[in-house]
Amino acid sequence: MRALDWVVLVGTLAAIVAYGAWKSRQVNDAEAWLRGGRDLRWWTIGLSIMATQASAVTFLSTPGQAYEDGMGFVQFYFGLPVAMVILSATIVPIYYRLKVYTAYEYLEGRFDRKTRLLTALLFLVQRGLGAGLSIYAPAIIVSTVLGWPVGWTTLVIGTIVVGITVSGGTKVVSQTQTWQMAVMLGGMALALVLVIRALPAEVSTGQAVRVAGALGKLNLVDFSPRLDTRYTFWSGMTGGLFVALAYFGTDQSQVQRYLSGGTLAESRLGLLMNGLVKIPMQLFILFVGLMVFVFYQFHEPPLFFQRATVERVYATPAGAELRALEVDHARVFAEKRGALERLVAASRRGDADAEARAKTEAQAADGEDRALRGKARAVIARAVPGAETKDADYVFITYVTRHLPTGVVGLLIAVILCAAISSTASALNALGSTTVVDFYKTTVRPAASDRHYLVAAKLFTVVWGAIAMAFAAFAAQLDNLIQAVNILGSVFYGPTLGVFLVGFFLPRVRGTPVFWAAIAAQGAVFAVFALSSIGFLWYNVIGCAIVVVLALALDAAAPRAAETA
Amino acid sequence: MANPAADAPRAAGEGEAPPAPFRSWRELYAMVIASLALVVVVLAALTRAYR
Repeated sequence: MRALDWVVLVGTLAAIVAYGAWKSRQVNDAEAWLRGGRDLRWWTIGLSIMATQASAVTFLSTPGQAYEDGMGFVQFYFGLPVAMVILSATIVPIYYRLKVYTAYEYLEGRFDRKTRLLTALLFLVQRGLGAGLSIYAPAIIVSTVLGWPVGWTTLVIGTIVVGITVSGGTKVVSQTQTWQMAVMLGGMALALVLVIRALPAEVSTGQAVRVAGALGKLNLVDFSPRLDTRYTFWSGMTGGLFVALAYFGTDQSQVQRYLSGGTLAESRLGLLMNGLVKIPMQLFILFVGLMVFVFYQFHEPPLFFQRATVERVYATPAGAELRALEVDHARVFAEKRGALERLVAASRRGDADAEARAKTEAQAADGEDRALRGKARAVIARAVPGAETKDADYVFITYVTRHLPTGVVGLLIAVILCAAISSTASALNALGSTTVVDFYKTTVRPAASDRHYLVAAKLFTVVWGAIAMAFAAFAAQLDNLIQAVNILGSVFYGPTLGVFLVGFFLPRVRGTPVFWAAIAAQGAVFAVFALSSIGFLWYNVIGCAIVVVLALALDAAAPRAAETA
Repeated sequence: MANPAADAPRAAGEGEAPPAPFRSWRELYAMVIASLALVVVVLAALTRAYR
């Protein structure tokens, strides 16, 4: 980081904080703080929904995912547009009709208070821990690469988030998110232009795509019905659909975004905008990663992208082994580059036979290189027990810090921090609101003044911010952070979605059966997580299915009179 | 915080119509699903072309 990078980084963050502070002047009552005054237009809602989902991990991990496994990750989002349509047609009108502040409020009217409090509690636990991870995950990666103290990075992100959320509530969170989205997408677009310009002169964008395809990275759609492949068309349309239904339909950090719409139409349009734009946006981020991959086919990449870990291995007896693998890696890289240069040249002159030969050679060298990376991981795991051996999250930031010009590095770090701030702000906003509306107002102070609830919501947001930062400090103990973020969501979403689906579509089922079904389903999902190797995307389906089936069975078994007595 | 008067226009269904040129929400939903189908078809074709 040079002086210009610091100017760009601090300037961007300061501008967003100043904009948030300026907009916060209009937020004077609980209604404005909790539901944003309900006058937001659909594009602000849509951008806010997207900024909430796009965490820093999205911008760090997704390009790395394209680098490691290709573009297939996009299939995870195939269920999302369908979910947006289902939610717009069913759940959103119900929330509007009931004028709820939180998603869980609906459950008290439909079932009973204990079911409302149970789902709200599941949300608080999951999102409270998730907020800590969404601060810590980028803090550790950025700090590791740039040599900053991780505590300071956590503190800066946490303080900005708490400041914006407490002062402005829902409306200002959404309004600042639109500008943060502009910074994020603008920064990524600039990164894409620069990586394409950095490719060798004879490699056009079309040929870069051909190179990526030759090495198996253009695996955009996989229709095979394999359960052991994480991302296929079918897992996206089932697991991905369930995740999207649960996340956008029942997670208060998202529900709060579209309930701030001026009308039902604005909220629906915001969700449908997300449905139309999300897949192209993910394709765009994956494409940046794909071009970084092609860049590293012509410029030697490190054998292992997490430099700090490599330095630790060098200091152990296994250091010599790792250095020997790096020498092999340099040789294989030169062979692969030669084959790819022949592939590009053959493609330019239209020589299909030579192109096919070069492709086979490049694939063989790529296979050898992958084997070397596997061996390097094994050496690292042996030399530094407990070290993270997955380096995909470090690919993009390594590229940014080593190969982008001064100023752009600061902008890309701002992109990552903006993503962390925007997703965590929605989380804290929702945590503060849920605590006040679903717990404080129902069980502690049912009839206080508007001013009292506003102050309470702000205080609870500060408390949740402190808990998130404290958990971020604890997160250093977790081995695989990114996976922890994904698994955490999936463990809790299934049962919650099940409760809502029973509420919406099975009108005869009563509160007590669904309450016990949800508790049993949550226990079952914990057991599946602890005892089986089933992919985490399926937790949503399992948890949801158990609630629906068990609630139906318990309801049928329970005498009707007992429930109404 | 309790059901302010601002809720009245919503309850009356103001602003419920989809934007032009869509005549109903169902048409707009169909467009979103059709866009998804088109994207999947294009991506599947690209996957085959660059295998």
